[in-house]
Amino acid sequence: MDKIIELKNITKSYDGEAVLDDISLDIYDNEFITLLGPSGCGKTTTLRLIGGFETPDSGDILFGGERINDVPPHKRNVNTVFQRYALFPHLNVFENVAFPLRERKVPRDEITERVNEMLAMVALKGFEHRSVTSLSGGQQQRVAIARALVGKPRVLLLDEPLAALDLKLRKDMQQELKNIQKATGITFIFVTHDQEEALSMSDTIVVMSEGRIQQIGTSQDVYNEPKNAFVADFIGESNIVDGVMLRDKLVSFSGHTFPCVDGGFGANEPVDVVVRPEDVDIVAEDKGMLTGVVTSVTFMGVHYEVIVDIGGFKWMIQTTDFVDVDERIGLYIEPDAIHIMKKSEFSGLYGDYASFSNEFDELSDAESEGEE
Amino acid sequence: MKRASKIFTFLMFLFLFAPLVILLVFSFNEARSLSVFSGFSLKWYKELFRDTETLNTVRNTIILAVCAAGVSTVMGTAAAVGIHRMRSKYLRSALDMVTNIPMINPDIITGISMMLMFVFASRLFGFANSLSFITLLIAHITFCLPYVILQVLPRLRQMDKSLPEAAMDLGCTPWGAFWKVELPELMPAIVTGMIMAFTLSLDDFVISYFTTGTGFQTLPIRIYNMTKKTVTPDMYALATIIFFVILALLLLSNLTDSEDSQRLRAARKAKRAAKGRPPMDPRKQRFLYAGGGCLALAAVAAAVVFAVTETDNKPQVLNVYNWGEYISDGSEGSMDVVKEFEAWYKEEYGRPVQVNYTTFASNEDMYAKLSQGAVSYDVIIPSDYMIERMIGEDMLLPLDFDNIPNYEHIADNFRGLYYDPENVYSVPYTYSMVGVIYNANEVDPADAVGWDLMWNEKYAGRILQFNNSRDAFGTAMYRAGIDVNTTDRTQWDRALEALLEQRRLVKSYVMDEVYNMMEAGEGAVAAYYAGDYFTMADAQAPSVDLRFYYPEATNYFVDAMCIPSCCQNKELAEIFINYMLSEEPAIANAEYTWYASPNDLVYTNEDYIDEMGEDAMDILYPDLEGFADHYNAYAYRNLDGELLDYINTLWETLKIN
Repeated sequence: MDKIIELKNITKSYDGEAVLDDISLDIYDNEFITLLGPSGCGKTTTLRLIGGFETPDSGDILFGGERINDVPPHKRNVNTVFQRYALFPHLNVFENVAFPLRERKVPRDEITERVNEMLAMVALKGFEHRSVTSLSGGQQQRVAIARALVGKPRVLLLDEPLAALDLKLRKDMQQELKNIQKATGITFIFVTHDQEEALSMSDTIVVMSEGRIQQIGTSQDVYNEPKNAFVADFIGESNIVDGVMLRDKLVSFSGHTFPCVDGGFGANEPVDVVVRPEDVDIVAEDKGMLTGVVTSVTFMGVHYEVIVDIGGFKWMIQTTDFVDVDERIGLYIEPDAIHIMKKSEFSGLYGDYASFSNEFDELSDAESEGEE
Repeated sequence: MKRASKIFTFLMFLFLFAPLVILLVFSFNEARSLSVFSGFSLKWYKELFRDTETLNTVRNTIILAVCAAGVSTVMGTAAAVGIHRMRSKYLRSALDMVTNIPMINPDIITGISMMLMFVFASRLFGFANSLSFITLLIAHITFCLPYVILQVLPRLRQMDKSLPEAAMDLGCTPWGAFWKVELPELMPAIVTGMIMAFTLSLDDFVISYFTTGTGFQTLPIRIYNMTKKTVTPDMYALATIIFFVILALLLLSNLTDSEDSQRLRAARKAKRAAKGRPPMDPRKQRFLYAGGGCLALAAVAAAVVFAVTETDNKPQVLNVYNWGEYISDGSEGSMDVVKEFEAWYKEEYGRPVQVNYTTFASNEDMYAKLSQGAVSYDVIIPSDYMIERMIGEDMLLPLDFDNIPNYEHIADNFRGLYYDPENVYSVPYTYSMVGVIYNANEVDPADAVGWDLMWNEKYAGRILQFNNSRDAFGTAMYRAGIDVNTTDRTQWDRALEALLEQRRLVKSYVMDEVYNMMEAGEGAVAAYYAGDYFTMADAQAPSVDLRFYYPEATNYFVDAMCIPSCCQNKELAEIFINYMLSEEPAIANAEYTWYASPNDLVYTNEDYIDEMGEDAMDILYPDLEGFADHYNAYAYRNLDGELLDYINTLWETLKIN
């Protein structure tokens, strides 16, 4: 596969505050790549740089090998689906989709043909003469996609396009977007703060935080082999505890020594240890590698979410077995469920469920959606 | 509770619309009166369309409003976009506030400050005439601008910020994005702003009053200046028409509101579809809009060119400044003196002349305007005491009577009057005296003698007194034989005693209301000028029979034609004055104004005497034996400021007690 876009050592700051700090990223033809991160991590800015709405303070943007730092948006072979769609209210559905073609002075017959084709693809046949303001959120979303694709760009930028849709519709659209990407073969650069969305749709995920790229990899890579505490915490749920790598394949944490599958660390090197909640088995107290007291149990539908206090550190465990609050239980962890990471700036910031609460989580989610 | 709110709503609508309904009804009144509806008639509408002076001001007003609205809309929209795009929050909110200030600023302050600026600027650059159509236009654009910004800016803020980005993303240049996406989005706000600007400009009086120059008069100023007499009913007709035009504009602007317009567009589309036609190609639509826009712009441009060439291209201009309704203007089949003068002049001298005829509402207004030095007039017609003051301040030029041979027709009685004892600066135009008007159906003619009628216990609560200190004190002083120009304060105290005594007999203190009250029989006794008596008698209700007589001692006024020192063409001004004294125009003016003329070509003319009738002649032209002495003894003169203050304090005691 060919590289279509390359970002080389990009930095960008607003009012002296660094938003992007030395970002380098290669994007390949035909790929569905997702920029994932919390609000303020620089993902939208990265997208706007590619779209041409911002210029980098330093570094280069290459498109098909050519530097495009100073090329204005209307001359880039890139189209954007905006977060709130940005449909033109004074034009009807047909005219919205025809807009880029009229700009390019495409012959009229061809416009009609291509617009109809696009509307058929997004299942909006028969809506041609409707006013865009009379459409539902999902329909507007499809118009926006049709409008962005009708000009056959090489790259489509999507800025949290599903954020405003309700859950059910969002799932459908995720599938649909994936299908469209496969059918058209256009590179999709997708921005989201929703890790589930990212995991289910992407070929490649770029995890960003505080203006830096933390990890680039496939969905499986970033979930199973997170590079640091931030990635481990942001993608899925993680118990992250301080440990010491005694030697290859032997790690000690929480006062116990565990066999594991990782290696390549120095002897007695302090490390971060990640254990996913679903990888912990609950056993009888005397059979556990670790023991603790259950402090809370929440029914989540598919499983229970159990918080266990182990020597003052709160672990989260997802289990289908029922346990009671205040019960003393034992925990058993398979060697391949233990993931070892090098210490990083994020060490100690994440992975303890002492202050965990579902409500708080949702609150911060809602805030981040509002900001971007 | 529900009922109460219904009643409140009803009352609110009553307050809002009752005046309009009355205006509408009386615009169709057969008679001149505001108290009696004597039958449906389109007379005043016909009258209106014959009144060239008024139509001229209507045209001026519309040209001005269109230009002001057009320019302020373009500038305001650009400014709103500029403010919106500003990066700094502080700068943005500061600008927001700054643009709002002119809106909350009282008009009077805006008006005065603009005038000062124009005068200052023109002195700086050495222009003779600082005020003109252009200054008026600038002033109007200035006060319209904030309203346009106020409409457009919120719309911009509401607009999705990514709209222009989306347009650029889809292939538009930044300019293209503005034209094709932002502008159509802003259109409803822009149109609303434009209509607001248009209506604001249309009815602005205060600012226009201060910033307009010679020869360009707007409708509100003209109506205001009609107060020398009453506002004529053809103004009701005009006001009615304007009201409906504005209403139509308002409805139109509501239609451009997005929802409504969408419904309208949908309906139109359905109609087209029903007729089996395809929906209109949006490009064709755009052509239509663009065409419409171009037409509108062309109209504005044409109007401007028209206005400018109208005022600038002609070599000879004569600026006349007179009271409202104080010259025969062609209405009701009369002679249009200004038009006739232009025609006569061209015939006589082979060159065209254009008369810019402007009106004022009071001597003080005229004086203020002239003493600012911001305008230039060639002929003015002030009253006696003002002439005395202006001579004293070197504001008048001595006349060259070789150019005014018709001066010989001015009766001897009107020479050597106190205000111009050497007959150097003025040519009398009209005169009149204050008399007592009474309703003969109520007042015993035997009581109708001297000023005592106004103090007669029999008519307690039926007497109308002037609501103005000088005139009210005058009635008491004439009655008591006191000199109305005395500087002896104890004499003024005596007059106050008399007025206090009269107070309980007085129905109300009135100025212009006197017309309607006397016409309708709401008052039985009032003092006013002879010329005005005829206006009242003309419109009196069937149950009212108004009569008039002069007390022995009474006030006189003489209005005379003068040339102010700012005159640009003195010889032309003298030719105009001479023309005004010639037979035909002099008679036409006398018939039109209903005031007496000092010109023997008028008062000895058989046709004029026939036309006026014997009774009217008796009243208008009482025995003039010893007029000059009488006049010099009894007419009001300028009093010094301290005394005037003292009189005002006395007057307030009367009004407060």
